[in-house]
Amino acid sequence: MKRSRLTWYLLAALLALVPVGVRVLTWKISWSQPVDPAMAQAGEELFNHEWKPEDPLAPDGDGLGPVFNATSCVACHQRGGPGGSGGLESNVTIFTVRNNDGTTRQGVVHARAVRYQETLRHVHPELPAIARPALALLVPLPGREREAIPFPPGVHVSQRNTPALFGAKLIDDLPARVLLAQEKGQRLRWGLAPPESEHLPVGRAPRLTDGRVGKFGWKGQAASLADFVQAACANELGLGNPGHAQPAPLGKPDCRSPGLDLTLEQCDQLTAFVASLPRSVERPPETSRAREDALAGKRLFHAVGCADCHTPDLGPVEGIYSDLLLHRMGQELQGGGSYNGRPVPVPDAEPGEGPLPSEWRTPPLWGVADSAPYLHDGRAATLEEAIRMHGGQGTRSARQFAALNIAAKAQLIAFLTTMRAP
Amino acid sequence: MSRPELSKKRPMAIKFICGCGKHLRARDEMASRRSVCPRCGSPVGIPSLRPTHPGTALGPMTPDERRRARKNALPAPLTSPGPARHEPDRIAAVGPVPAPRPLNLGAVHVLSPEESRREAAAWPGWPLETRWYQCLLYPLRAWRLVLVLAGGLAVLTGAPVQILVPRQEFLVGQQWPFLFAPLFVYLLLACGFLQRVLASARAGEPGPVRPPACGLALLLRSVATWLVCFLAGPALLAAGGFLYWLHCGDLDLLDELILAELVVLAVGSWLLLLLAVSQRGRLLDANPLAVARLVGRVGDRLVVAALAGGVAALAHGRLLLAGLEELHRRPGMGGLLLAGCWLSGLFGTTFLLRLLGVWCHRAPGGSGEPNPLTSADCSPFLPEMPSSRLQ
Repeated sequence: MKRSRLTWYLLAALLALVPVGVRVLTWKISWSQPVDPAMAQAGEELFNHEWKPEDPLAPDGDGLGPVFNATSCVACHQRGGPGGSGGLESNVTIFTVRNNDGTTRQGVVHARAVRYQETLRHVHPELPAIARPALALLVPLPGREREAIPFPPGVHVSQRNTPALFGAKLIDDLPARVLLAQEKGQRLRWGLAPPESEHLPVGRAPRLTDGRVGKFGWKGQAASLADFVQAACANELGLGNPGHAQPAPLGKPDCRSPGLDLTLEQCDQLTAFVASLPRSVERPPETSRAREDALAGKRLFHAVGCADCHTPDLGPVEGIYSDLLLHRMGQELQGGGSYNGRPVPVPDAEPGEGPLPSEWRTPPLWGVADSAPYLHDGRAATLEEAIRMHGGQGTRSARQFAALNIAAKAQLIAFLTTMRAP
Repeated sequence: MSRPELSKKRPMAIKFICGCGKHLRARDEMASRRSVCPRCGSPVGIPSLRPTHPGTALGPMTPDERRRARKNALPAPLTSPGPARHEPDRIAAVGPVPAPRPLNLGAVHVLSPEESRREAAAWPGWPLETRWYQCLLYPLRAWRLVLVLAGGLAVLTGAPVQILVPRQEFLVGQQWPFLFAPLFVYLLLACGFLQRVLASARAGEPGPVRPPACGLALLLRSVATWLVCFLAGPALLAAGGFLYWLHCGDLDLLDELILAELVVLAVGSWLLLLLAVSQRGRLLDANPLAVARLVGRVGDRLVVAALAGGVAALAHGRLLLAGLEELHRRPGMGGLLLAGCWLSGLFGTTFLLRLLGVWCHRAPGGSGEPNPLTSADCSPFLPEMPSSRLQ
């Protein structure tokens, strides 16, 4: 009798262990693959290469264009060295148009073209025929009067500043569950507040339509470094590749390339080069007084709540100062549209689909001292301006920063300026 | 000296030792009656307060007196280990022995025979439950307490979320745990209440649950029992479940299943450990062997009921989380969910503890009769219980 009971208990225990066993067998472990130096070297040549129409490096395609924003990767990613951020001059203009039938149209107004130059008039007939609108025409900039373009209803135009690529491999190697753990932790910390909160710093991991979690791009629109590189090649240089087709000019949707400009191997070489870029570093000041100021600034960084979203460490990545989650940053920082074809809802869309116009992925702060201008479109020329412009879920930190005295503000900025490009 | 006079001079308690070595205490009203040792479960006779020989002084022997008594004693079987023997009778056989000195031990409170009769007469329609569904009525008898506790817990879980979280400045600097201190204190009270329910059922006490009437020390002891039982195993499962939830990414069906299993096991084992500890009032019984002994004695239904409690706890946990989420969107609905969750949770826990306690009480070797020592050892809110007369 006793043996029979024991058998039943053992059977129940075994049954209970089945899900655990299956999970152990199916648990995905992502191993970090070292970068192949030869691939990275070949990628560096591609990264610095000045692309031309009918380029010999793209024998199957049409080379640069037909529409593009720059002629090389390094033309935009150059601040602090190859792979760094870019200035306002390399901003990308993105639009979203909500049609009367409820559908949306979105894309990029490319700054330059081999033929069929795009302008804002292609977006909407009431807009001026400008190919590269200055940021001041789109948003109010500090110290400058707005020379705003009157946008028709349903039309939204915004810009994206070039992000730095340093340390991209560390982000690429991060398992998605690290971001999801961050998301859950923030919700727990703020009393299970939903991510649609406009004030509490509760972010959400950007989930792509294929179920993956986005880690790259201002809207977290790319799940891997390879995807991000391929999308940038197609959209910025007009180099069609196996991951992304090159964009057709807005006025000529039937314009097609004879073939792919980049092979998968070339894309992998470019990815390898970007992955080989070192991470940014924290460089303490040389004098002891400045070091103390920076240390005090670091404490203030936590005290005013910056570290709620700009978390110093993310999983195994130390000193990243980002949670890589999407946060609502308020109406002033809205910016819809996407340049790699991913649907982005219009401002009054239901949450939970794609990133909202006010949602931005927290950018890593490593190398922030060498990556001005700041925010998604570079509207903040200085770090202090950038902090002040934080709205939505960053409002409290911006207010607390504004309430600091001048010395304390200087200390916090001093801390941020210790984070330099490699 | 008559007994009432004795009670006036030494009104409180009798101290004696069971054959298993457990130091026991009882009120002087319990003198000359029989009870059960909470550690070994053996019947014990509570010593008499009356002098066993005319002219003998009251009070315990000093060590010298004890030695003298042994020297003068006839060769009687003093070494007999029989713990259930009535000590005064045995000592009376060896010569004039003073009765044990009644000690002041307020923790043990047992009804006098008169009080006991009054108590039984006061609740004639509420005998000890014999069917499981009869235990469903038990929380209703304590509806005021359950309502007050549930309401308080709902307010104390909802208020920080609703009032303090939006005012983020309160939460900066890691001060937020202190804001939940009232909630923790209230949880202690709820814990004390539930422990009383369990002790009362374990002792086979009929009648309603009484409001808290004892001091902080006993309340803390009760909480310590729950805490030790949690740390003795369920804490590992709970911590494992939390870490797994945090780091497993988006939950799929398999993850949900694993988490559900961990929660059910944690809560189920917690309940079983509490029951094991309540048997003899020893915290050392918070171990798998004691649980196995208990299950062997009471039956497999104990495990089934404990796991069912785990399932109910899982459902209530999800409801609690849903209520907290809803508070951010629709505070009214969130508050209702929280209140419903706590009310239902306390009702269910009271029912379950009553059921498990009565099962343990009615099981072979489970005393089968009220055990004031067991209840007094465990419960800060010890209800008065009828006592059995010797023979």
